[in-house]
Amino acid sequence: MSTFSITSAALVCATGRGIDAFANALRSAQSGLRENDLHWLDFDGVVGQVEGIENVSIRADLSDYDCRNNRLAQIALEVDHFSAAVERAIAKYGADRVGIVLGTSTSGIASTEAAYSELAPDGSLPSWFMLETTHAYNSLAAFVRSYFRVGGPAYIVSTACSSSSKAVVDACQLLASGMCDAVVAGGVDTLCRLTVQGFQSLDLVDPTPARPFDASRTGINIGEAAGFVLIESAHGRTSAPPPMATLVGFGESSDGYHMSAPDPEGNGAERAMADALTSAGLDSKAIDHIVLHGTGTILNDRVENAAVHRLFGDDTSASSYKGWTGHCLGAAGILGILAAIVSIRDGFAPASLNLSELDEAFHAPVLLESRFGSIRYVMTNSFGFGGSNCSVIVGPPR
Amino acid sequence: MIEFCIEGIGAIGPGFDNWDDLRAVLRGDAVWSNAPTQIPQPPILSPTEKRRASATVRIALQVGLDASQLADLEPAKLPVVFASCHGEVATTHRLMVAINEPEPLVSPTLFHNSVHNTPAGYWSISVHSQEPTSSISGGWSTPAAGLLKAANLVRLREQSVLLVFYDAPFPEPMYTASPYIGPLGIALVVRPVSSRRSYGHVSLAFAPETMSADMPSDRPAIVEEFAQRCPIGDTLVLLHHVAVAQRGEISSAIEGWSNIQIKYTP
Repeated sequence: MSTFSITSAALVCATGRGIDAFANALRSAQSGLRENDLHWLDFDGVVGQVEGIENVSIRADLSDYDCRNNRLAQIALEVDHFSAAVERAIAKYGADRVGIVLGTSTSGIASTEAAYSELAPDGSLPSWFMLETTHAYNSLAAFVRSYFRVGGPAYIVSTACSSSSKAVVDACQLLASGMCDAVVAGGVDTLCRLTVQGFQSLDLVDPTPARPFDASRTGINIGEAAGFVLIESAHGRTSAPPPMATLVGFGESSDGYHMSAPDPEGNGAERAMADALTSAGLDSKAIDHIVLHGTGTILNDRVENAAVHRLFGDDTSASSYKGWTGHCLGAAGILGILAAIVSIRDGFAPASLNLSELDEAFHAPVLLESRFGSIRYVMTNSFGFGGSNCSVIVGPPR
Repeated sequence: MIEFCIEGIGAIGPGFDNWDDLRAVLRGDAVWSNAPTQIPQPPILSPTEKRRASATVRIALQVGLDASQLADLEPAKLPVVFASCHGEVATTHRLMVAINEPEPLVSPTLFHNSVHNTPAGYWSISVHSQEPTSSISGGWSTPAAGLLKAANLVRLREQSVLLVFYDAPFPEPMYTASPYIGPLGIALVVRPVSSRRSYGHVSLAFAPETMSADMPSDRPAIVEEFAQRCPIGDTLVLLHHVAVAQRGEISSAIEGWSNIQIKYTP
């Protein structure tokens, strides 16, 4: 399989603005979760909130897109020198050769929630509500496309918790087929009442910090995040600065089991990981670390543990980053990929936060202590509602 | 350049329940009745799901089954691309209402059925498939996005792929905020180019200068209506070419990206 270079990246989440803030938080075991203080969210418990979204002004020419989700996107586009990298790609390849594939599960729906709370006496929505540029799934892709004034293909992948991993996979397909020379990929999801109340109705939320893979885990924390990568084909990449990482393998599958519970056998999850290894031409022994989906639910962690152990035995290490950020849903996939990039860059794999006692039934090589050492290949997992599974293998820059 | 052949077609919309019906209208052999879309009951859904499934889920699954059947392929063996601008509109509306009740009560089933990949999930469950699926939205360029994604997938996997487009209008009050017509569902089974070209061949290429469109001289009202007023209506531009077996460059007639040229050959 062809490989693809990640030449720039940006991240904003509960640990703050920028990839280095995230990396520092991982190394210092400093979670970004805190008690919810957004009164409109109507939730008592910890969330992975991004500070200051309320104070962001959407760029004046893009005011139609103003909503929490696009504001968070804008914040992330302006960190980690990401915009400069995209502008360099536009200058090198031409604006029509730069594409956009992004993941989101709820887009600007917080605006829709607010709009429905302000219905006119005749039942109509308030005049400020702009459905196509905020609520709509594609609003995020259209916003980023307009932000950079690029002209290549742009669309959204929305497959719940696997959205932004699959967006990265699609971006690579656009490069492989020659439709684009560079693609902005990743995803954005933001806090809204729908996901908080929805996951609560499924009994999947822990109001205290989640404990992925722990014996006493009871559920997820919800978070918000924006993550972007600029991907170029390995041959065509802009010359400086050097790339950050390489995308070397992908696997996708369906569970075909249930909309909100994973297949207890984990066959779909195992197939996604196995297909990723095959596409990378790598043996399981070549994987130095696994960034787990690791949400902290009873079922996900049990199933993921079983599938990981079947494929890898004791040959690698595994951990979840979600104790730092919460489960960022449509942005979970890109966060995992960025966690992999940090691990490769820094030679550091963090143990999961809040893991005091590993579930005694678990045999996967889950890290109990963080470790330092050369980390070259990292597998990242995203397993979403509807049984949508995606594994992406990240390797060192080439 | 990436390309595929069309091996099967499914179609459900206002005034037509299958590809035969739609083709007759597109060819001018039948008058377009524009009767309200008959929402199907796909036989693969369980009795519970038949009661609960949204119109969009039912339409997406049925046209997917119909296209697979015409292509004589087992549904469970096909990777699937689901492409819809707005997805689960009815379910989302119900949740927006529920969340704003004085005592909000969100149904867990309604919540997990609000994700954009709900049809994909029910498809995999109902046909017993572990093949990968994706669920995308390109806004009003969803037809172009779906054709592009499917072509890339055919190229990568070198096998047949099912491509399902669907959209239904929002219920009020969101309908007024974004009015469009439907419901409409269109499915294509597409495969790598080979000697079997039952319904023709589609190619996509980056072309710095677009050529003028070779438009069939009389574009029927149904195509005009849907291309203008439905986010996935541009699929009928392609199907019109298929129905009248006319080659042409369709990209300049559809909402897409100016430098991605899409051509059809019968």
